[in-house]
Amino acid sequence: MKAKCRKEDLLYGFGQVQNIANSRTTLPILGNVLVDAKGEEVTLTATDLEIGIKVKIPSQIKEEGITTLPAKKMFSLIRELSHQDLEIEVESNHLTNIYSGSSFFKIVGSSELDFPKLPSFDHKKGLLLDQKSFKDLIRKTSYAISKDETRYVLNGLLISFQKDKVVVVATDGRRLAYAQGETSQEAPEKDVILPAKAVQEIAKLLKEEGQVECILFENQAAFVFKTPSGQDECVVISRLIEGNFPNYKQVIPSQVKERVVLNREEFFSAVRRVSVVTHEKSSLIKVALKKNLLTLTAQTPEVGEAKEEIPLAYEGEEVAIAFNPSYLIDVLRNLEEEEVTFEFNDSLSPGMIRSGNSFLYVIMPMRIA
Amino acid sequence: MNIHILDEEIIKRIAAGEVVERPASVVKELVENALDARAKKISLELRGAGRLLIRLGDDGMGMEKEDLLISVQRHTTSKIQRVEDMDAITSLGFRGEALYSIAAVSRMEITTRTKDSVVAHRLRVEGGKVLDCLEVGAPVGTTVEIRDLFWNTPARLKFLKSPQTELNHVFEVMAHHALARSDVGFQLRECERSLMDVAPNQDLLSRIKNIYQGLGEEWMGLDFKGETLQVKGYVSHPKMARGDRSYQFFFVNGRPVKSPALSYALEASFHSLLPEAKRPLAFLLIQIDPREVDVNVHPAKREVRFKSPSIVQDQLREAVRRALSISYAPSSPSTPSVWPDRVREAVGTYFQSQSHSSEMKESPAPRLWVKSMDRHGSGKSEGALSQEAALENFPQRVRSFRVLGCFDDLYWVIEWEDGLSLMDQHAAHERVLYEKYLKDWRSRKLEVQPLLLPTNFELAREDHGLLLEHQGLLKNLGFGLEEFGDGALLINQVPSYCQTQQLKELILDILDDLKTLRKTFSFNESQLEEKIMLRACKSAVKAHDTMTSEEIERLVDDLLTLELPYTCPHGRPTLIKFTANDLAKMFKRK
Ligand SMILES: Nc1ncnc2c1ncn2[C@@H]1O[C@H](COP(=O)(O)OP(=O)(O)O)[C@@H](O)[C@H]1O
Ligand SMILES: [Mg+2]
Ligand SMILES: [Zn+2]
Repeated sequence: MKAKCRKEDLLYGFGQVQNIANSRTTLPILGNVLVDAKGEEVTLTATDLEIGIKVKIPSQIKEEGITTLPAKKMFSLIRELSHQDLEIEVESNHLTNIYSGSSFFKIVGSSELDFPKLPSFDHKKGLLLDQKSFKDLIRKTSYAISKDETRYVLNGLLISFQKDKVVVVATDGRRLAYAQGETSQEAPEKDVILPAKAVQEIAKLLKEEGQVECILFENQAAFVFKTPSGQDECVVISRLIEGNFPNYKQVIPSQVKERVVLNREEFFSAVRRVSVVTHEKSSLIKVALKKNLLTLTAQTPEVGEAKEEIPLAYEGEEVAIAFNPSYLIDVLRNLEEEEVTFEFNDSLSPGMIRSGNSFLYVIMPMRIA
Repeated sequence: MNIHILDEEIIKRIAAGEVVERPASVVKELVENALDARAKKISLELRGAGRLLIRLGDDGMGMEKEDLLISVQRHTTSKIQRVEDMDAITSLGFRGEALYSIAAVSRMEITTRTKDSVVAHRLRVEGGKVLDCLEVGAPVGTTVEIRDLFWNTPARLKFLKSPQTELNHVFEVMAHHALARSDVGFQLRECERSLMDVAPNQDLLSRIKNIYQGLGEEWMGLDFKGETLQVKGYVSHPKMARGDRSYQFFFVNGRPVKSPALSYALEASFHSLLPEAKRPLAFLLIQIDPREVDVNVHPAKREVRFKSPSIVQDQLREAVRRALSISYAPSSPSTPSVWPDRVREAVGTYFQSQSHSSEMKESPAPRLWVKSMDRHGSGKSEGALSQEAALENFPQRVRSFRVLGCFDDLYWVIEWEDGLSLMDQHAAHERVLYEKYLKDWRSRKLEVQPLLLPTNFELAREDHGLLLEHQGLLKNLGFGLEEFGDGALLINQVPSYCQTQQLKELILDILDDLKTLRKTFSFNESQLEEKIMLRACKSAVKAHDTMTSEEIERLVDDLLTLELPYTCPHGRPTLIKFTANDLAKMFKRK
């Protein structure tokens, strides 16, 4: 193989795949990136057997070929190069020479034959989503994914394709985030649970423009990232979590007694300030409402007390509800809208935060035992 | 002094003396006699691990001829007279039958002289029969020589173990007394080989280290005066803990004793500092009014019974607990500081006005970390600060440490004035959470999180029943459990600290605790509560979670406000400290 690439492209490519390549696993080959030079592009592939990622970068190929190279080492090497172009040349035995300006490196690669094969999916058509809106959906929900490995169905993001819309839901059993987006074409209804790690990697790849094609299989999904001009740029393939996601519709309160509108920024910073005096992130803060006033309070014996007041329109009964402040911070931080509505029934039943028509968040109050 | 025959009533009250069973039991009796005679030096010589010869010499007060003659008779003692004396025994011996029993099974020779007498007397007894008593020349004190132990009782001889084993037993007896009385010198030789040689008037710690080498270096001193007793001695740093109780020594009024009650109190003070199967080491000298303790419960006087055991236990616990919290302070004043002289000078005035060691946790000790303020951006200036500026810029939040960095999202390097420590963020956080959990729970302010989506899982029928049986207790601890059809259980509420939400595992662990505790006959709910709290905080913390230095600073702050910060509630270390001295040793600079 002999291929010429721009440093920038190669750095981008290795930057994307190196998170997945992990040399700490028992299979050392997984610390390598499969480098495949063919036609007018070099494809970089990495996998940890749960997730696979392929990135294509433009290249001038003098001689086609394939090898695998250590991911982390290549990434740091390329990052340090001063010259803009570099040439990769693979000798026999996977010894790889890298030329760039006056620099020269020899890297020991290993055989592509040991590298696990990613499933091919070329023939199947998927559903197109705007990268920007998909990114938005993920940002608004993914923080609520559970880390409890014993409830494995909650360790991922539910992506539910429902005719002309896509709904994503995440919950850890204490709060639930729900967001929905439009799709440009109708698709058959299907629910999948995408593991947290794949969600994370996909979120990193999503851009402000272009589309992403979601192709679903029985227990895998592929996400093909496209440039604004429609070219395939990168693919992520992930295993899906098997099992049934809990019925989230049951959790969303169907009726609420009270509703207040809050400026998100204001509410967010008030919660953050108040929670400074909580000892642990999980210690409760109180949200109290009385006529036209919302009060946030927290106290910890050794640390101190905090109180914030926010005037607003409220005519309902006086009430005080305790929440885990980090659950409020999570949601408020990840929204962009100027206003949010806070809806509730009483101090013991789930409360709700809504933003626009496409997002809602259900949160379970805390109590003192 | 005079030895007399005890009257019948006392004799009846004395528990039947255990016959002499091995060389070590002979040695024990002889050493006790020497100590009762106020010896300052005791030397023991053995041949054949005591089978051929046991010769114990002391420089105590000796005996007059008349006393010597009577001493080998049954129930003859100089130590008690009346029945009432039995209630307040201050000597080690009191039964008046040791010399008699030993003499019966050996060839014995006692040479003794009091300071008022110019000559010594030597009494020879063989198989209990007095052969003769001669005047001889000898120094003040008593030497008892036992030859051919069990020569006339071959059955007993057969039960002796290997010479090495017998020798070990003798060593232990000597060691126990040597530890109980570090003011007395002890020597032990077997066939010209010296096995123990400790000088009189040693301090206890040197004595411990002389006698048991290699137990570890980190001992925490105790000196406690309680309501009814006084405790002195040493307990081990938790990291020295062992798998058994063989290094737990208790001495009550100078008598080495085994005492489950004392062991229990000792271990209770280490609660949550040690892993389950680990036992602390201890050398504890207890002085108590002799009327408060009955020494006449075991034939070999190895056990004692306290009149009010729980009062004794409470005081011992308090004593140990205090020692742990004081000696556990992170900075030990004896170690030299690595901090540059310049900076020490800059804050010299503060150092002078403060004693050095324990202030750290109470007051924000004004130790200046000029560099750290630069690094964390809380000090505005660049480069070196002048001394005055340094003092003026003193922020309220001065810390006595500086967080240097992190490895593997788990171990943090923290710099102190006199060294560095590695901190396990998980263990540290666990300790902090545990203490808070405990406190909230005690003050009935436990925060709980009801679940939006209750979890349910299947359990074996009996497990299910067991949990439901303790539903109320679990509820107090923040867990909401409900029956959920056949064999399944629903959890609808957890304590707020259960962050990692490994609920099922947690519940299974609690089940295990329940089952094991049930087997112990003294099961009580508070034991269970403590266990569950340990479990809950374990599930609460995040290892390998990325934490910022600010969070870590806060964690260390929190940790330092605690009484016992140095292990997680399961006994693993939270902070491991290297003083400048330790580092110098590791790098062979010393
Ligand atoms: N080493 C010794 N120095 C002085 N007196 C001794 C010594 N050994 C024994 N005696 C005397 O002999 C007595 C009998 O000893 P023993 O049979 O051990 O009974 P006890 O120690 O219970 O009194 C003691 O009470 C003591 O007066
Ligand atoms: Mg005696
Ligand atoms: Zn622990």
